[in-house]
Amino acid sequence: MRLELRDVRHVYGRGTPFEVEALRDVSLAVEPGEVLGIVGGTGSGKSTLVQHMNLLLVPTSGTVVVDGVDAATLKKSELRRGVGLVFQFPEAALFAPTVEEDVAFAPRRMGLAEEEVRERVRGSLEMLGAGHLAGRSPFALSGGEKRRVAIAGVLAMAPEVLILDEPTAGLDPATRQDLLSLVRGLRDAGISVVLVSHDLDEVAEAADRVCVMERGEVRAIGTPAEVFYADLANAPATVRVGAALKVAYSNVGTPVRYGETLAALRAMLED
Amino acid sequence: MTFEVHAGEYVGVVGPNGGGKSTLARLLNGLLVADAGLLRVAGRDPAMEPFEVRRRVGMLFQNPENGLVAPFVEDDVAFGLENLGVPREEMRERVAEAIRDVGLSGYERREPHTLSGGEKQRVALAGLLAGRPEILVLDEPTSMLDVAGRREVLERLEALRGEKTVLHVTHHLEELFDADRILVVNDGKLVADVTPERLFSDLELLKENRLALPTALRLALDLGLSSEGSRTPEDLASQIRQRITNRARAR
Repeated sequence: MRLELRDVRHVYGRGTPFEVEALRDVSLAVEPGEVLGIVGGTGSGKSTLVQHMNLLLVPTSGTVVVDGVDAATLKKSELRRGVGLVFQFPEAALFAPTVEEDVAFAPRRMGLAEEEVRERVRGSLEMLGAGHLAGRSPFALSGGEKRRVAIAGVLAMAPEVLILDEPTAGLDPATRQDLLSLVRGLRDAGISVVLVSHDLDEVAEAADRVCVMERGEVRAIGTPAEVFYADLANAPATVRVGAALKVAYSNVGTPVRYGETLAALRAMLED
Repeated sequence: MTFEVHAGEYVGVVGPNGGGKSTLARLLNGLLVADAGLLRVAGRDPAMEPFEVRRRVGMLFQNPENGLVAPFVEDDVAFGLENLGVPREEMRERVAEAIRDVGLSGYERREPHTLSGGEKQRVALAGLLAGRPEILVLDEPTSMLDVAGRREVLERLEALRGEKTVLHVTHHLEELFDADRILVVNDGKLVADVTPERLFSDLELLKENRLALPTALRLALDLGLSSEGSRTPEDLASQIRQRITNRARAR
């Protein structure tokens, strides 16, 4: 699925004294099978932006286009099945007595056969490394486990695009790492992922492209190397090392991911 | 769990999700009560004298939204003092001072909801400082902030070093380079009570407790370089430049 926003503008509280223009003519595409990282400060419009991707928010002007079709003409339930949105702190919405039932909620509501529901629950829990939690109460899990179960609940709808809004906020580093490997795994399984995060190191690791939001506008969009090397004040640690060396030694290149950076630095030191 | 924190110490608290860090923080001001054992905060038992203890212990939480209550920044900062019954004139002074201490002078009449995450968190910190607590307990104060917000809040915390006793719970080890000690809490137990240098060089201990080194430090170790000169990415880069220059000279 190719998801496109064309000149999307969003105004909150229109016609009131609290009117705020949260998005100004934003145009961008989520390409099939990519991880698109979205970064930017608080209040830059990241969450507003992604909530347009399944029309949870309706643009004040502009259009959302899904595989060439205006999303406003699609059935909402259809659209939200194809574009799954996982909110910040999604574990707040866990409600069922067992993990299995919680994850089964959406596919069951979709009217799937019980066998298919079970298959999807099993599949999505497994994909998130949470298969062993199926029979547990979601309320007795750790923070990282809850987060994974909540994501599995959206994944069980078999979306083609999965939007994760700050999925690692508040998680410990190892849990965060696990979740990022999952993001790469989803992508390898052909699902596009939109990853909203204020952690630049993690976006550097997981994203194929990065979009920088600022005051409701797209300030930059491109490969992680293009975007991060152009704005070092908002770059991950790996890029800051690379950039500081590049001044004297251009052969360091423009490494972004940890592995690439380590290899580039090693090559310089051994040269 | 057994440990002591001395007046003026800056102590980090780290460990995995569900390990007990937040429970520990909440025990310290009587939000939770211990089932057994002895707990004294500034000489008092928080379970018996929660209000006396809360006068002396300021707590800053993860989400800056949760703590802000008043229509204007200055009212918000004054809120705690009103409850403490501080006289009006003194209240004014303390509020102005606290707002200045967090670098928000000029923000007195701003509405909290118009502020950035970092600014909101600093308003919350000012509210604590106005109460002049001896002890600050910070429970992941930067984890919901963006890069700029984190930097702002950390600079303010840095300025409090030595002045207050600080217990700083975090997942970001780079926030604890200058801590006097770091407590590693896992599975409800105190697993280690070490200096930052010790923790940062004990890869086994880090791994067991699901901790990750700051990126620059991790690169340095993987490259066999000194961790001493690798706090920031820029430090690491200059260490590498130095190496290359030295080697060129040697040739």
